[in-house]
Amino acid sequence: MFKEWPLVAFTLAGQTAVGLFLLTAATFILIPVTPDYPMAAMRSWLLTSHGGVLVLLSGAALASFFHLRHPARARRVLTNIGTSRLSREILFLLAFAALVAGAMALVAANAAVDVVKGLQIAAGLAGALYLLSMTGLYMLVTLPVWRQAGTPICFVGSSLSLGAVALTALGGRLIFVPLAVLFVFLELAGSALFAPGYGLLARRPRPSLRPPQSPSRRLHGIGLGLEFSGLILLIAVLFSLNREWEGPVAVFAVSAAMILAGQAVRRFLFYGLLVQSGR
Amino acid sequence: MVTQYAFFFNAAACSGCKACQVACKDRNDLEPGLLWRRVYEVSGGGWEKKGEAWVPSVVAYNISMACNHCEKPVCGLSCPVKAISKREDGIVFVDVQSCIGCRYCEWACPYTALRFDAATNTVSKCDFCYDAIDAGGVPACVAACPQRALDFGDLAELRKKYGDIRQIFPLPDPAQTEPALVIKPHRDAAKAAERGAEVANWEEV
Repeated sequence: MFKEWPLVAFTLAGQTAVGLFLLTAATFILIPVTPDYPMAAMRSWLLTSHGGVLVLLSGAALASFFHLRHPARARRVLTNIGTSRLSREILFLLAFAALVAGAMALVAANAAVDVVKGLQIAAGLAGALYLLSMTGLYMLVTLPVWRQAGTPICFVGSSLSLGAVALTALGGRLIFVPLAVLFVFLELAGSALFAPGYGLLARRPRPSLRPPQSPSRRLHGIGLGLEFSGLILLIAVLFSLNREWEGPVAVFAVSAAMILAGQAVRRFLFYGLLVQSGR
Repeated sequence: MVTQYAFFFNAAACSGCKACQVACKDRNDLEPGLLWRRVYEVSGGGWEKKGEAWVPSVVAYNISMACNHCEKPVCGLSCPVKAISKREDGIVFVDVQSCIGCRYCEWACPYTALRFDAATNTVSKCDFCYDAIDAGGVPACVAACPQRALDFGDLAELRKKYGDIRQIFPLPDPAQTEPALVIKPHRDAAKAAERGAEVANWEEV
């Protein structure tokens, strides 16, 4: 299962990018631009956040090339959009990246607020479609091990939780820590209950021609434990914030690393559920 | 004219000798570890008490499975570069010059027909010995079977001759991909699920 590290990197980076953008855009759209909160005050934060999204998407795309055995032929990967969920995932990834870059360019050019918001909504829709197509890729009717509620729950959970952590990290001040606590908690609860193969309520697939899974349940516990420990540290950061939303940045960094490590461990286990024949 | 080539497999006659598997490897010069046709040994059960007596309730049979050249090939539908296509006679084959090696088709196929070939870094699978078929011959596996447990032909003709059963334990629901396959079940197949049968030779397939 560790051979699937490019896919682990691709999915986590891509989902983090979507979560980071959706939370950034939602915050920007919901906060009215007023003399107390002028566009200029938010410009730097928006540029940093959008730049972070593009860096994550670039990392995801780079990781995906390590998954392919013939990356030079990947220029034809959009050939089968009609029926291939993988083609659609790449299409929406490219659309999302282009629209985020466009929104970033508009912010940098001091475009009108409504125009920026309009493009952010379009980019948000593209990002949601990217996340949806990424989830659908694993939900084929012929893949019962992944075709259950746990897959979208874990993917959306990762997107929002890691996106909130990234938003907090890029936000300058730790103002988004409460949001990060909320989404990390929800992701942990969702995974503990529904994670394919390991969740308490996960459905076990019927016997088939695929070899039975063999990944370690202990690793699942380690992943949950790492992320839970990160959540505890994040809560500690929350309670030590002052009125200016300043707090122990080093502790936050450690908690973010533990949360990411915990989710990475469980993502490896996710891919380990599908043991490929002949290996 | 054949509109859909299909395999017939008689599970009641199969002895599990794997002559079909070896013939396929020999004809296609497959590397060790690469199998286009696999023979699964399904077994389970044990003993059960009936009154005062203990009676055996063992189930054991073999399934010889290659690519079923499905009418709804999920491998081809999933391939992002259209490297998998279906001929007019129903044979599904992989264009290794187009394959990018993402192995998504390998995930998608419920019959595990697609196999990664490390020599070419692409996926490969049973091609129904299409060059032999086109020349009026027979697939290597069909020719090799000493029990005559394998047959091939047009799917409609095979159904008239052998019936239309396409699934025995632990094959997937045929409605998923509409496999071009006809099976004569072994008598143990009906009880295999309830007796906890499972594939006993994962290392060989």
